[in-house]
Amino acid sequence: MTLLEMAAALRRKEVSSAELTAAALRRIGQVNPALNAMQLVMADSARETARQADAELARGYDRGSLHGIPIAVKDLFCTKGVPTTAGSKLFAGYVPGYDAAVVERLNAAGAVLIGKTGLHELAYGITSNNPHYGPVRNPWDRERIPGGSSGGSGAAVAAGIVPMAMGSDTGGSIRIPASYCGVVGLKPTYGRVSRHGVLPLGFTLDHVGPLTRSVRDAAAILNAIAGHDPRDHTTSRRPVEDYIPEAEPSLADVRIGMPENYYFERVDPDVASGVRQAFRAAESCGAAIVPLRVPDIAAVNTVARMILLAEASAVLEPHLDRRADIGADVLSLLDQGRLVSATDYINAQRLRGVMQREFAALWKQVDCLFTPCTPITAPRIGETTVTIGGEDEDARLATTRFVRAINVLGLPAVSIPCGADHRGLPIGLQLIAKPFDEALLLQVAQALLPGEVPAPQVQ
Amino acid sequence: MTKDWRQTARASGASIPDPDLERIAPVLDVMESAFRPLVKTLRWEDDPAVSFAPPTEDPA
Repeated sequence: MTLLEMAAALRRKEVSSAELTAAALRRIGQVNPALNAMQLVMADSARETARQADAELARGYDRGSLHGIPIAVKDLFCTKGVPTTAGSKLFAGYVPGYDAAVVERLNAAGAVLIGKTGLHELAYGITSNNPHYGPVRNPWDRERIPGGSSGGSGAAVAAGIVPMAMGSDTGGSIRIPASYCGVVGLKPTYGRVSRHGVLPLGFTLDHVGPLTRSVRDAAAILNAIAGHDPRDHTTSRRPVEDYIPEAEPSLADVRIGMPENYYFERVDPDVASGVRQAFRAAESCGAAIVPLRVPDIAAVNTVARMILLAEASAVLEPHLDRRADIGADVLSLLDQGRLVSATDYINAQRLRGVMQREFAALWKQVDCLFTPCTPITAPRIGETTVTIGGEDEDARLATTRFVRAINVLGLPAVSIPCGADHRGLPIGLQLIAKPFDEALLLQVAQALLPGEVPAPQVQ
Repeated sequence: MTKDWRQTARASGASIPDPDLERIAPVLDVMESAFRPLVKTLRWEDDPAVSFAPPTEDPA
């Protein structure tokens, strides 16, 4: 059931928040031993919050569509009085004295926080194969990764534990798990949602957004969390719109860009086929498909990696003497970042400005761009090299190839499922729009995915 | 020209053990070879994309 369906059922008094919360906790008991999606379960506080939500609704105090709905947040978001590990041993004993801005807003909207989801260590990777807290597993195939770094959020939503879990995205960390787990993952424009209280990885690249089972649910969450926050100077003062699209929107007058270069090179044939089908579906909804050439995305990715290496190592510099407490893959990246010079970091940020201007020109031709989200479907746990079109490629670099650049450009993007490969694994379609055009982005996504995402059978 | 990563590490005071340094050097070399030509395209008027705003009073 989607979040908005739950909200409607609550208002029809067919179900209570206490019952929804009990069902979520039961579901954790059923599937979490197999998936390890939840890092921490907050059963007692969730039951109490649900009881309060029911009492408020009973006396006519309705906080809106999230009121009484069980949700989860990635264990990177500060939660007052509740451990926040960032999936790391470095923060194993950390108990924040405050809530992240997004947690505050979700609490104010009446959501019931049932727990915190597992992630790739320090949110710095795409597998969620965590050396300290165990691997998070993909609900579609437990031998495969859910993607990362918000892997627990993707798995929890796909497995039906919660209708929404918050994620963060520095180089694809919301969209990748959405793609591999077959759910909706929204990365808003940089500055649309406050990062306050979310442990940083890349100051200028970090974004916060939801993973959900429908597009309208993602929009409902964005309604609740978007907006200026004086504690995050990068947040915009632009007014927040109502992002929830009509149930069956038309795409007449919408121009969809079909990249002729880069995005269909070295792509699994099943993935390419699923994405091409999405273009046909958009066309049948009235959209005009516009073939175009995109700027040099490989160059943007190079700049993105340079910036992230430097920023992540700067953030974590005080902890880098604890090498034994950091997993090998993350340590390797942190070491690389320590060797990026200040000159190179600044030049990467200068190149970023040039690339942002180049990419902005695209929005004169189209309103939205479709690309594969990931060139492959979920790899197996432990698989570090993948073969695409007969060529071997590092699994991390392959997985981030189509998503990483969008963080550097700060553009809003969403991943929605668009079919399955020959093994039955979900294929992700990435939709990208111009800055602060989330309403259009979600309208197009809704036209392609008007209902709930397919559910896996979790054993 | 490929950078001498060992010397870079020593100069920056980064205490990275030699075996770890040897593992990451080829990765950094690849990135260096992709990044250096991009830097050559920069013009002097290209400012960095990062910005700092001085604290201002919140109108709210």
